Amino acid sequence: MGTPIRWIVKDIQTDLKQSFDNRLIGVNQILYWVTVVANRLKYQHIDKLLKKGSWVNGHFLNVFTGIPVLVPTVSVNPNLVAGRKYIQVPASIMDLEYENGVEYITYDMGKVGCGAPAFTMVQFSPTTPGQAPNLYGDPYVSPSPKNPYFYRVDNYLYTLGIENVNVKEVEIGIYTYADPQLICNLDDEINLPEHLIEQLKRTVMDLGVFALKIPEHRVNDGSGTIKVAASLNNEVNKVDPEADSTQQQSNQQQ
Amino acid sequence: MTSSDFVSANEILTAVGYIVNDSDFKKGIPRGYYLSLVNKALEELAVDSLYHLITKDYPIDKVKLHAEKPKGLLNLREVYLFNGECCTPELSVIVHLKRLYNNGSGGSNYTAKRKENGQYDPFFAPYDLSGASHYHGVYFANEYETHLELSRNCREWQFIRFVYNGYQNAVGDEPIIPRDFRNAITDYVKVKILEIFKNRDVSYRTLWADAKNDLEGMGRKKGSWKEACDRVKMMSTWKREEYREYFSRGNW
Repeated sequence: MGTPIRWIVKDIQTDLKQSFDNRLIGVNQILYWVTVVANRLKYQHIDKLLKKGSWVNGHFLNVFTGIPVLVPTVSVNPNLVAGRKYIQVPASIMDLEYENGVEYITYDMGKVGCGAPAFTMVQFSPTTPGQAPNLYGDPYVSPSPKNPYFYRVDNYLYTLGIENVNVKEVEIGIYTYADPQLICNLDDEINLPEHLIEQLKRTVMDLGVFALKIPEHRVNDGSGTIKVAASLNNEVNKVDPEADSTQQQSNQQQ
Repeated sequence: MTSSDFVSANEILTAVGYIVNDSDFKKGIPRGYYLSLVNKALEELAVDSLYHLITKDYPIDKVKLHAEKPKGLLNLREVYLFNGECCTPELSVIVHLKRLYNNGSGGSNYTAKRKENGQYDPFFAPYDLSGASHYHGVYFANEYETHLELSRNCREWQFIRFVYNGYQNAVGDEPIIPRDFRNAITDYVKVKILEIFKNRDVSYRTLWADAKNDLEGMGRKKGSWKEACDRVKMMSTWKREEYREYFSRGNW
C-alpha cells in the first residue's frame, strides 16, 4: 500500500496554511507540484540505482501490450518518415541514459520453446540513428528479426531489423513519468517509495514558500501610477486564527 | 585437445553478464557485440593453439590445376589425392610441396627454378621430376594465398583432400566453444567489455587490470589464455601410453 496523493496534498496544504477559502495556492497547484517533484525524485532514484549497477525495482515498471507497429505511407515533418516501422510511445518515457527508460520491447517470434514467455526470447536493443550505420559492420551485431533494435525520435520508437518480417504488435515495458493531467483521483497512490515521501513534501513546501514570497503582479489601473500590492511575504507568516484556536483547544483537552 | 564437450555462447554471455554487471545489456553494448567478442576469442584461440583439425575433400579442376583452399583455413597440414567416391578414398597418394612451383593462371605449363625442361643455368640445373618413369610417383603442388597450384600429373586423380587447422565456425554463426576454453573465453570477453567501460569511466581501470591479469597471467600465475593453449597441446593418456610403449621397445 502506497501513500494516497490526497494525504500528501492535504498535508502540504495544511502546513502551508492554505486550507482556508481565500487561499492563494489551490489543491490543483499543489497536485501539479507534487507530480512534478515526484517525477524528479523517481527519476533520480532510478538513475541512482542504474548507475550503482543495481536492479530497478519492478514497482516502477509499466507494461503495455498490443502496441501496434505502424508504417507511415507518407512522411510528416517533423519526425515521421514514410516506410519506416515505428511504435507510438504509449506514455512519457523516463529520460535515462542509454535509453534505459525502456526496460524492454519484445514481440512474439512464434517459436517459443521450453515454456519460456515470449519476452524472454527476443528483445529490441537500444541504439541511436547516429550509431545505426555502424551496427551493420558486424554480422553478430547487425539488426535482424532475432537481434532487433530500436531508436527513439521524439515520441516515436523506430525499429531496425524487422523490416522484412510481419510484426503487427509489440509488448513494451517502460519507466514513465506521471502526467499531471491524467491524475483524476486523489485517492490514487503515489508511485514513489515511502522513504522519498518526506523529501517530496519538503521540496513541494519549498516551492510553496518560494511562491508565496513572490510579490503580487504590479497593477496598471490606468491612472498613470503604479500600485504595488502588499507583498505576499506576509502571507507565509500569517496564522489562520480559526485553525490556531482549534489547535489550542485540542492541546488544552490533552 | 582431447576434450569432446562443448558449451554454448549463451553460457559465456550469462557468466560475463554477471561479472561485468551488464546481464540485461543495458549499458549501451548490444548482446550481439558480446557474441561477436566470443567468436573473436575463439578465432584467436584457433590461431594460437591450432586446436581445430578439419578434413575436406574437393574434386580436382583438371583444366586449371588449381585447388581452392577451404574457407577458414589457418594452417595446411596434409594434402592427398585420391580416387573413389568423394569422402571415401579407395586409393590415395601424398601431394608434396614444390618450392617456387607456379602455373600462373592455370594449366599444365609452369615456371620453377628447378624444372624438367629448364634451360641451362649455372646455379640451378634442370631437374627432371616428370620426364622419367618415376614422374608418375611424385605429385606436387605449391601453396598460394587462396589456392594450391597442382602439377600436371594430378589430373590422374579425381579428388583432393585437405587436412588443416581452421576456424571452428564461419563469421556470423553461433559460436560453439570447446569446454576447455570456457575460462579463457569468459576472461577475454570480460577484458574487452571492461575496456569499453574503462574508456567511458576511468574508475573501471582497476577492474579491467584485474581481468587482464586473469586472462594473461602475471608473475607465476599462468593466465587462462595460456592455460587453454596448454590444454590443447596436452596428450591424452592413451596417446602418451602408446608413445611410451613404442619408445621403450628396446629392440633396436
